[in-house]
Amino acid sequence: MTLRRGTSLIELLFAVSVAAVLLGAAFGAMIWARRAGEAGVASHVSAQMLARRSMEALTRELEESIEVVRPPPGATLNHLLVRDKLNRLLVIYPVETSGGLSLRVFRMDPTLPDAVPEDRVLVRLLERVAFTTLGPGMVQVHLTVRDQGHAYPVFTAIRCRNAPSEAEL
Amino acid sequence: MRSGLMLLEVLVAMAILAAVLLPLLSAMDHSINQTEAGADHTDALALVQRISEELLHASQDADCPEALTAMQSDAPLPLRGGHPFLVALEDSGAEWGRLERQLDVGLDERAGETYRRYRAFTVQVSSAPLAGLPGAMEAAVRLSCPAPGARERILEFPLVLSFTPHPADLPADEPSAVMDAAIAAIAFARPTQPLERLVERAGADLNAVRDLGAVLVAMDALGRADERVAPVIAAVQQTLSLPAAGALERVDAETNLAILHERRAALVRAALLDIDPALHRQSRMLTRRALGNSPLARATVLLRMLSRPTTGGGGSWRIWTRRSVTTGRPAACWSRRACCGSGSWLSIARSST
Repeated sequence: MTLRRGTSLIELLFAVSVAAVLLGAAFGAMIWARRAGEAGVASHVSAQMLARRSMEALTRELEESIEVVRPPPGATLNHLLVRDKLNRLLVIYPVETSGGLSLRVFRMDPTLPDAVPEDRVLVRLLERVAFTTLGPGMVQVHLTVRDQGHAYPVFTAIRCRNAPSEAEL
Repeated sequence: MRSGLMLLEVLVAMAILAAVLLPLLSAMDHSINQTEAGADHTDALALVQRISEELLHASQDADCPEALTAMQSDAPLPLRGGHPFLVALEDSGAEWGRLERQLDVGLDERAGETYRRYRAFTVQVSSAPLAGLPGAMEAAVRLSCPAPGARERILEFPLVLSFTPHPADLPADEPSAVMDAAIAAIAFARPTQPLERLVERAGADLNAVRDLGAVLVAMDALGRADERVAPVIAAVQQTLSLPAAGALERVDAETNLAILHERRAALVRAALLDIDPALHRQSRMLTRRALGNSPLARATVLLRMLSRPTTGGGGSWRIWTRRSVTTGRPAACWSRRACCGSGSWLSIARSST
């Protein structure tokens, strides 16, 4: 009969420490991957939210208009000129900034020549913007935002709610 | 002497390691899949919003059921490579002011991030009449994109659309007595005489005369409408040609011109819809004897229209345009986006494509 020698304390400690290192590395990798994933998702969601907010801001400005003056139907430009129901002219134009493109809105009232025209930033952190007029009361906006390294594109057609209907035309 | 590790010990150690690591890997994989599914769903929502806009436009603004037909497909179509919904996102080249398939920016590399995000998607639109609601259609938008493991992620969105008859300002739908009187006036130049007597005297067939007479009446109405709008267009064009015209004045004139062309195209489309059944019927069954010696037998315009090839419903009308905003769909699906600039009905041709 042969006797097997048991595991010594040193061997046990060595085995436990190796297992601990392996498991620690595995957990570390998992936590790193999770944090990286979360950061990626967060910036992706942030870009999505920015795109949506940008589009909402544009929609709010544009849907009260009665007609798209520029670009002419079927054409694409990087700026937009619309007329609202109070006959005010609204120009939305891009400006190059350090964080990318910004869209500014310039509103002037021809009936109040002494009034100070409104000029403010509407949307920031854009990578690309294009306005295409699909009809006198409809404009397609195609823009890409870039936030924390993530780009997110969005495109939609905005109708001027106060544009005359087909029957009125 | 120390013995080496036994096979059983190695297996137990590996099993313990696998038991610890596998759930971790599985959790990570699940988390990645969830994230991707969420991202795809968000992208799909953005796409559905755009597609819904097109469908709602077809039903509400243009009131053009043919547009819905043109957007449907029997199988899912990839968005890249000229899908009707994203065929022309931007006007990017000559002819300026006209969105054209394959020439302007659609869902291709030029669209940048939009292309990278949506190139893997396929879209299928189907529709069916909604029971109990005349004129209402239920459309289903089915999007799919690749998922891990050679699978497909499918997202479906239903949409209810309502179509109403188009408001054709032409006499084709008027009561038969009014139409008969109009035919007697326009085709026979005898407005006071009953059409039946005129037809009998000419030895013609009443149904054939009514069909082709209605076409003449519709064309006459179209011509008169065109005569009213032509001077207005000429005046606007003159404004544009003036070198002294200011920038804003030019913009106004261009917009007005586009609106006028739209109205013209709307009228042409309404006329086409009205005369198409009669032309179609008579192109198949009309004989020379059916028109007798009535003036209709000598109406060369009518005979030319009848001689155009027809394909039993497979053909489509083509409206020749000088400056139009189209999205590459069949011209029969004219919507208010199209601007017909070439003018009279003589430029209308029937195509069998």
